[in-house]
Amino acid sequence: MEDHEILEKFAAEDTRNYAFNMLVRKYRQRVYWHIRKMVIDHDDSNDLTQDVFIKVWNNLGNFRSDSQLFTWIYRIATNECLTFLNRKRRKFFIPMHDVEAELSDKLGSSDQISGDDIQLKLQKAILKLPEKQRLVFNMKYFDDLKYEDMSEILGTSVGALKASYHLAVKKIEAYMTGT
Amino acid sequence: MKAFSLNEYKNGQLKAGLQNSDNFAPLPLPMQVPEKYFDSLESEILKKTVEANAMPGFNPALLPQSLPFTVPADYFSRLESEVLKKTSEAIEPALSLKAENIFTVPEGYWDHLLLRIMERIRKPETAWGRALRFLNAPLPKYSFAGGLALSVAVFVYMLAPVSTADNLNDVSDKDIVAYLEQNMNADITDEISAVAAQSPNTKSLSWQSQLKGKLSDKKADIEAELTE
Repeated sequence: MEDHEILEKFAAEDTRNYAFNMLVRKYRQRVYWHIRKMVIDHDDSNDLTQDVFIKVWNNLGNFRSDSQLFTWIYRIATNECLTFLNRKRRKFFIPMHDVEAELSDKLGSSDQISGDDIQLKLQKAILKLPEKQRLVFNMKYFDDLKYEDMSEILGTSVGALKASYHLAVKKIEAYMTGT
Repeated sequence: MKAFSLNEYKNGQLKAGLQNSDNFAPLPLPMQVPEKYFDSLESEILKKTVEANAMPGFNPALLPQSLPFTVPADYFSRLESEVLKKTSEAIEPALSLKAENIFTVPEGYWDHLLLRIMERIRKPETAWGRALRFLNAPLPKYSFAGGLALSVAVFVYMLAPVSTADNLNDVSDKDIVAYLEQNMNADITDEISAVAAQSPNTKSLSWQSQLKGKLSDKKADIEAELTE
């Protein structure tokens, strides 16, 4: 089902639930994987994915079609991830919680992770990046999003995103070669 | 007469051009070109280039048809894959990997996700949940924090001890004298007098001496009454 059809059906009271079901079916995997790459843990990703779709349900009526539906949903998911990570980091207002180390440990211990050593090392290298750069890298490298779409999602210029991605690649290369 | 500035003129022309068009408009020139000149310009240039090869002294037939170097058979057909192989060996293994997903989800997760979301949407929100959500919104959250900080500041200010001297500064001399005349107590008046004398804010010495005089007179009167 096309996005505009979903929006039309969501606007009508009698087809709202149906439209929302379609929307969840269409975007659940993209949203989940986007979140999962940021928070690593399946349970956290599950909670956040649900929160994202609940926010979508609450706010879809106010969605203006001047942006694409998927970039709008991605933006909500991105904000949820960043809020979640900030909350983790600033527990009790003390910014001393090493979230990156915790996520890195989860990479090694979770039973919901498969992949060879190099793939795990790559994920650990990605975790060393600052959050925004991590988002940019994930969206470009894994999701193959266009810079224009990423710019809409992150509210950053295309040039800055390209630079950020380039830097991320350099850092990861350096980490992988151990330099 | 104002001097002509070429820069100003150019800027004015550019500005006018930009205002009249969505795209950059070139500076207007007084020269003209034949109709559809630019359409045929490219082919004209190509034609001229070919003609140049036939110019006197230039004979393409005299150019060597082959080079004195040779390459192994199928070299060029294998070159591309060789280059790719070398490149992938040179760059980091991670980045030459396909962007594979190493994360997995529990079995049946996708089927349950939609149901779980719909359950949460249908579940009526509790009053406590609503209040928490309201307090979590930025405006109420910061307003609440600001209000709390203000209340604490006011409370601390109100609890702060105020010195007798500061209290006396706020009361006029006339009122003090009137009070003392009505409520005579030797100990208190001595104390107040002493504080007033030490206070840097005491308005005048004449007031002090006047007050001291009055107090000692009163004291003498009281003592006389008591001895009688």
